[in-house]
Amino acid sequence: MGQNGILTVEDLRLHFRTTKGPVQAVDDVTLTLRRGRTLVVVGESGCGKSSLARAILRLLPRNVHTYSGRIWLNGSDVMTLPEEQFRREVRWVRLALVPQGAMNALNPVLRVGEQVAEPLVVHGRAASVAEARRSAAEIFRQVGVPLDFLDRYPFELSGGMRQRVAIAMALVTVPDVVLLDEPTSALDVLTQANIMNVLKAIKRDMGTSFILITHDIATSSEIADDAAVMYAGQIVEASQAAQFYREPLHPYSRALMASVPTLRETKTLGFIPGRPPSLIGPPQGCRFADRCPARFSRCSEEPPMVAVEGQRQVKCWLYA
Amino acid sequence: MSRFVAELRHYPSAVAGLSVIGLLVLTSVYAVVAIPYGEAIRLWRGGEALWLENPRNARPVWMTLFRPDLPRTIVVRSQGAPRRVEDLGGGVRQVTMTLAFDYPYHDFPDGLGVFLETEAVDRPPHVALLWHTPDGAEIRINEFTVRPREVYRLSDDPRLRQELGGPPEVVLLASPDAPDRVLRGRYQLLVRGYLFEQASTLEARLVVYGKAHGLAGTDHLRRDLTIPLLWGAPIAMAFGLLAAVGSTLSTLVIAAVGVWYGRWVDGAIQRITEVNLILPALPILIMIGTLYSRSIWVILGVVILLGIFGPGIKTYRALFLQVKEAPYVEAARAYGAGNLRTVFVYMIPRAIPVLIPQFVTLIPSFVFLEATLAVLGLGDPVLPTWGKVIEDAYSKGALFSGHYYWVLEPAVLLMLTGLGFTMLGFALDRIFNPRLREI
Amino acid sequence: MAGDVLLSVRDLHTWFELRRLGFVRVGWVRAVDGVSFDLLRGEAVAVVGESGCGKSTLAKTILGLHPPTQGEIVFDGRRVHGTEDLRWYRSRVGYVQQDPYGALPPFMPTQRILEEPLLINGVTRAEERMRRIRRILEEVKLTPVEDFLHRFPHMLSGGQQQRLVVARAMILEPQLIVADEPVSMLDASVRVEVLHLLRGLQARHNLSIIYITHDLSTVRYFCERVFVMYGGMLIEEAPVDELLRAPKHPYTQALLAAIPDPDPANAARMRDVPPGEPPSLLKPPAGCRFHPRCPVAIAGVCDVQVPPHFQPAEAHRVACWLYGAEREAVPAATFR
Repeated sequence: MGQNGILTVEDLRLHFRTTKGPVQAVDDVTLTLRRGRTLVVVGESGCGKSSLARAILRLLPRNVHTYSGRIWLNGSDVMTLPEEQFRREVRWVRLALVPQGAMNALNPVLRVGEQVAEPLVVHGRAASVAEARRSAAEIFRQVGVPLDFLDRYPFELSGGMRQRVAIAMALVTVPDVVLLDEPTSALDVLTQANIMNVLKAIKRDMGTSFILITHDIATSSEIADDAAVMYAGQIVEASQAAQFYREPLHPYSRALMASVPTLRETKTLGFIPGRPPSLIGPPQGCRFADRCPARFSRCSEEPPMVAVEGQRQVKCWLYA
Repeated sequence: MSRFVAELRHYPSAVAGLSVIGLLVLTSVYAVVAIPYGEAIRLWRGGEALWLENPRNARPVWMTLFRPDLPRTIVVRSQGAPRRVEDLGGGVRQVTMTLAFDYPYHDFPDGLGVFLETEAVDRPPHVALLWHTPDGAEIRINEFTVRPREVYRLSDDPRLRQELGGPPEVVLLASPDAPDRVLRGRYQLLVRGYLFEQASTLEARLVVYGKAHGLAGTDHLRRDLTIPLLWGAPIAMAFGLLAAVGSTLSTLVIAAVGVWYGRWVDGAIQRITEVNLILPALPILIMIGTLYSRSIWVILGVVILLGIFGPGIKTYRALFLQVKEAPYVEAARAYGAGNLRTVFVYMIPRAIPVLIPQFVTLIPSFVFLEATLAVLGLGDPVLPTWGKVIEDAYSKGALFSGHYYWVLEPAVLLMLTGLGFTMLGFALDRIFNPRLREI
Repeated sequence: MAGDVLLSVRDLHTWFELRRLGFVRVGWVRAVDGVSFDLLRGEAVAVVGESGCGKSTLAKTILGLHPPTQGEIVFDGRRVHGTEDLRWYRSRVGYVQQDPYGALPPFMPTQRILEEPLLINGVTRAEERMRRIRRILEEVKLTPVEDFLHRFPHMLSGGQQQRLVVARAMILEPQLIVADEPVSMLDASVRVEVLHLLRGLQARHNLSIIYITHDLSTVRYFCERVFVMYGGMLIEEAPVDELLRAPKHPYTQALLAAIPDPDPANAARMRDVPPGEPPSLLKPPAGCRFHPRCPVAIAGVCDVQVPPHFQPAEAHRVACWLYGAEREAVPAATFR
């Protein structure tokens, strides 16, 4: 298991310790990212998708209750690596992250060129400062930032430009996999389209594999080769993009798709009544059951991940 | 609100702080109830007449745990003592009162005093004092005419001292063969009085001053130190609280008003604050205390005035500048909230989480300020406060003469007050500002 | 549904002074630079544009939170002067903001939040206030009402918070609601709920709504007419179906082309996006504000003079020289 993708996550679990009990943010998540392709993880706020990104990169806070599972990167399980080795060899070397709100988290007192070059210097990938700067310039070219911006400060750049800088910072060490957490949600429509274009270009030219985490289903379709849906800390559906967007299977995915307004075709919009369950002590059985229009008696038992034809997987009794 | 109270239980420092404060409050209540204000002032001001029977600079009684042999004060009154009246004829009576006591201590008393009262008008009685030791020696002490209230301190009589060849309280109770050892046993003071009037009466009291007295000891004026120590609590708390409330509330309101109205109002407030921050508070208070008045109300007023445009203004201004931009403030304007309402109902409540811990931590600093002024000799001349006790101790060289308790007792109380409020304040800060917590 | 004119905005300008060192005037930020439109009673319109186009400032000017630098606002036949003494106006216009949590005072429970507008506007009897509070909570479906009266904002979900904001905007029984990005901070599945609620309120109370958004894909489901704003000016205005079917201004066309639908085919191609950034409101370009990015800008015309509004079709106005009397309409497929 885990050999067919460049990155495979198996039974990943990340629970946080809080005064009110453990928060089961990532609960036995299994995903596969194939080389050169983009996997989008779609979910709403509170489903644990940001925690998933951090779990994969082992960027853990102090109040970790449980952290377990297997993360296969290029065939080897990096979960077993000691912390220092993970930091030196994996994080930002083979696996990088563009966190949520990265465009607002750039160091305001460093020039952007320096910041983009910094991962190279930290990981000893550049023989000299000049070489690091050259690599930074090359990445700037890839993401479409003019070279004279290398010496500018973040406040001199617009939101779209800053996001490109943040993406450049993740790409500068030429990692195998880049995770992006809501890369476009704070941006305008035109800027959003620009950023998606940048990602598409990188995918084509550098062959990087992406995991894009977002709540915006429409934007996710811009780049998705494979799609997974996350709800209440679990993956409830995973399939190829072509099948997913045309016909989602899981009742939550269907309801979500129905609530997205479309520009080019008219449809009746639906919404999902109620709220997602709290990740502290989630309900027994299927976590979507209390909001699901198709629930029936079996749903009080937690459904397994069922394989459906066309290499699709759904976590729902309706398909068992 | 109840949420916060429940949270407090989780913080040991809060619990400790609250316990100390609770103790202080209880002490204050007790002080005010058991010794009402007027009474306390009277006693504190008293003068020697009130404190006659107290030893001077006596240690607290609980120190007998460490030094078991501290003698206590023994008072023998003639009212219950054997008395013989002889009529000598011609209207003259001879009254002989035997004031007897057992002296069980190994250490000499601090002093000896005889207090005589008589009601004679024209011809005061004449008195002779005779001392009988346990081993049968009789020593003639003195003879004199008695005024209506006569205080005869044997220990302070230089003639007696010279006659005896040493301090009377030592010589009179010493063993004959070992002059530095106490002769324990039954002693008697014979008061032989000659009354010349029919109506005159004579009463006497012998006080053998001990070296330990009361829960807190006594000071140089023989005053029981429990009074200022007890009463220091409500005074300190009241001063601290009033000063903290007075300055904090006004600071808050002024900062909010400045931020809301902006422009020149804000500018003016900031410039006044900056000037005020440079002004040195303590020297100003010293000047006022020296040149104008030392009344605690005046000092309190000046402290509050100096505190209004204090550093808090800068802190609250930063906070309010943020709050001013909050969407709900804009929404309030949109549905018609006026300026005053916006400031008091929408902006100021946001400052409460910052205000409360700061306020609690501010209280002890005012308490210390008041104590500092007292130690410098600028305390309120009438009130019994902890600072005053330290000032007395300091000016009478308590530490040089080994009367450590005199300094330590008020100092420990001040420290406890500071600790109590500060611990509570820090815990409150962590509760109200969760970002300071560690997860 | 349509009726007479409720709100009339004429040549509205809202400029902000930019000062350095507190008193040296450097220039003006021209957030709203000449906007005119009429809003009918009971009509819902959308004002669409990207960040920095001035739409939020337009909303706040209409709400009376900023004084206009020039131009006038006429509401129900009465001029709205400055920002003071607008009690009569404020009670008839409701404001729904973008950030549901920020829009609610965190230290007040629901009941108190709803009481405030009533208290300020003179509803003195407590029973009357409670009656109105209960009624509006029922209407926004925050039920059972008793459950919600004492909850603080942090005890509500995002959707519930926004419904409370709507309730507060409605409690004075306004005739106009200005909603500034009311759903952009909510989850996808909750957005529809809130938009649905606003639509229902509009129908029941014959409300006019100005819906400010950058998300064009929601406008079809929500309003009758759309205004497109760019660089502080309205550049296109049309009924919603017309706009989505046949946008005329190159910017609108670019905007529509850039919005994805959930379609797997999107991954296979790049999108055409106009280069550059939205214009600075401090130093806007001369002439048409869009001309530096426009693929069909006419040299010598578009970079010189600000285009007036032309009307190439019924109820459809465009501020673009391409539609001047002597020009032909530009085909809609300028952008893919």
